[in-house]
Amino acid sequence: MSIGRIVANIAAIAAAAGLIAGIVHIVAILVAPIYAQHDAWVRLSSLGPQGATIELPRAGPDARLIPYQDPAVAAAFCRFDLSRGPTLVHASASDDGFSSLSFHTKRGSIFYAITDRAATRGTLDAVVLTPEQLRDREAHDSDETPVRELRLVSATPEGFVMIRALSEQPSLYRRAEALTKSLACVTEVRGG
Amino acid sequence: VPAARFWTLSLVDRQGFPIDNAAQRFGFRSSEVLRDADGSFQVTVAPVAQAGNWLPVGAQERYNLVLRLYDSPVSATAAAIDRNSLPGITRETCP
Repeated sequence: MSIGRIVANIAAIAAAAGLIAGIVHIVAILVAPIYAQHDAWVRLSSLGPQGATIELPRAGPDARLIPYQDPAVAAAFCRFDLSRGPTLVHASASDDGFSSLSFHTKRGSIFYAITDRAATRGTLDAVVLTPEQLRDREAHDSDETPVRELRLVSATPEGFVMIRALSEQPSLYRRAEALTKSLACVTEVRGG
Repeated sequence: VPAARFWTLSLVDRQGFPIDNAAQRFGFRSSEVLRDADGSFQVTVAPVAQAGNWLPVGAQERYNLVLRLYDSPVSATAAAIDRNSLPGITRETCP
């Protein structure tokens, strides 16, 4: 075997190895978020059970669970599971300052959000459902009375709702915190 | 600052967490920042106490400033943020 042949073989093997390594590298990067153990869902799940309203610890040097929280904003969340029925979400809205509800899929992406500006009589209400549950609900809608509820379709059966309230002064943080406790997520009981 | 009902400006380390400081000052709200007569404001990031709006940075050499706009017509999808409306950052020398 000539020297040139050996060099060509080594080059071909190196190129093949490089190609395989490159593919593995790209695939690993693409699947990393799916297998990440520290996404929002995993972190929030560690704080409490599904359905419960759980306050997030105030942002500070000692609260190391969730980065990039606003220290001026109190937040709480509840996790929903639509496999047992639609989830009714209710929260009080701030009467002067800013408060908001954001609706997230299990992956953490927001599929809907409303602020206190959308509140009716000081409350924010919504129904989170799957596409099938929405079809079922629409089939039962009366032709005469208009639908008065806000229906939000979640792309994943599980997800979470986050309430945020801004404190306009440091001394008002407790009040913002109290507002976040008004969040309630209840699985709807049909037929009763 | 781009139009918004409220904004907050906070300082975090490179992992996204506030930096511990004796003043327990991690950021400013639009409702509490000290302003000049024309409504503008100046925030000083420094390891030692400064007059006016001081954001303590501790021993960190690298940090992130986070500006949050609450209830703003500006959104991530609908509109680009005008650079000129954002606060400017200038580096000063140590006194």
